[in-house]
Amino acid sequence: MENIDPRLKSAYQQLQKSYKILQQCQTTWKETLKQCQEEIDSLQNLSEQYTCCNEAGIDVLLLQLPDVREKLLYKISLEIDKKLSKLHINMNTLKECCDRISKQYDYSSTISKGLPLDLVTMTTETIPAFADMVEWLNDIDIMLHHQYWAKKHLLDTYTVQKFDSDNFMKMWNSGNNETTQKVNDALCYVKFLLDDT
Amino acid sequence: MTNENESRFSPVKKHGHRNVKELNKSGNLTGSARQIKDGVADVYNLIQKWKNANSNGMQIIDTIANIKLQYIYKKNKDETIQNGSIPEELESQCTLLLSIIQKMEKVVKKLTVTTAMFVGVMKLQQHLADDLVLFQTWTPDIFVSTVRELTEMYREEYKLKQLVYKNICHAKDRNTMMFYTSSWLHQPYVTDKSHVLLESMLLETGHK
Repeated sequence: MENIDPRLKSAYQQLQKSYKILQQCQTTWKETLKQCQEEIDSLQNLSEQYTCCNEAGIDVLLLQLPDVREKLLYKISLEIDKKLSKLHINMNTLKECCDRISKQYDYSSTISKGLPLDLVTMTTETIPAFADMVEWLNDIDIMLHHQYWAKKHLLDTYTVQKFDSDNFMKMWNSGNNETTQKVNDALCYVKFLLDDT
Repeated sequence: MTNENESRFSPVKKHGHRNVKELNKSGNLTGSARQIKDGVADVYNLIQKWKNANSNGMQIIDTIANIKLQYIYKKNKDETIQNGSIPEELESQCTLLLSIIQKMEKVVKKLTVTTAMFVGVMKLQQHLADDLVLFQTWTPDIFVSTVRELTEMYREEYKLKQLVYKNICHAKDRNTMMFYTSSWLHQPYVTDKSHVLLESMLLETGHK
């Protein structure tokens, strides 16, 4: 890295910073999704309780406690609300990750516009082309945003009456593996750049 | 000038003429204040006992639900099993659940006695027409209405627990079983307000 153009060197430094932030975000993202999973398991369970309690034949109880079903459903709804608000807090953490990556992409893409084409496309044995690295960052940025909005939409449109557990999980997990794979691949490609400090 | 000011304004005093520090020294209390402070501590301890009993009961209810659901599943496959029959292993669980129900009954009875004590103190204070605020801001009738409300919640909840105990072994399907389990866990008659009521009493009497 010593013998390269100083303009490219400073551009690489920016990218190093961006990808280090991506590494941090990847950890935060994984941890947040893990926390979300616990809440979603509870949400599934509570939704199932709500549906079963709503449909259960409990004439014996209703004779003596006519408002028991109503009160129980209300309490379950309160618990569901608690879980949803915890999930919304987790969503905010995911959004922060997305925004950090977007910002890094903006910085890096601005730098790439100021560089001549030969420098932007120059590759070495260990470092991929600057343009490629910025493009991966852009791809990841789009994927993370897509993931975030899909999950947020799923939570925003959640209603206990229309809850379909299998479908919910399928939609919640859709794209998770692809995003993880994409981030891992990109970090793998830029490993030498990150190690070169 | 200073003397004039002093004669014009009387210093601001708290109701009951006691500060919070004094309140925390429970040894100094006598009479109605002593009775109420101890009564509040009793209510708190009784509710803790109820909570313990409830969580122990939850484990038993879970076991009963599992045995019963396996049995219902088996019955659907094997038509030789009689309708309305109950698996034998439930008996021991039901005995355990009964002891929990009895503990809860005791709690409700003691809460009722404590409420009566609070009513007594309130009447005494009204009769004496003494300073009605015993601690910081509450008059005895607020203590009475608070304890009464709490007792009512637990009484209703006890009725539900009793019904669950009587009917859980006869549940015919998964939904009904889920209703019993869920109602035991969520305690629909003990609302979130109960927590606020209890905490307010503890704060008022200087326990917290």
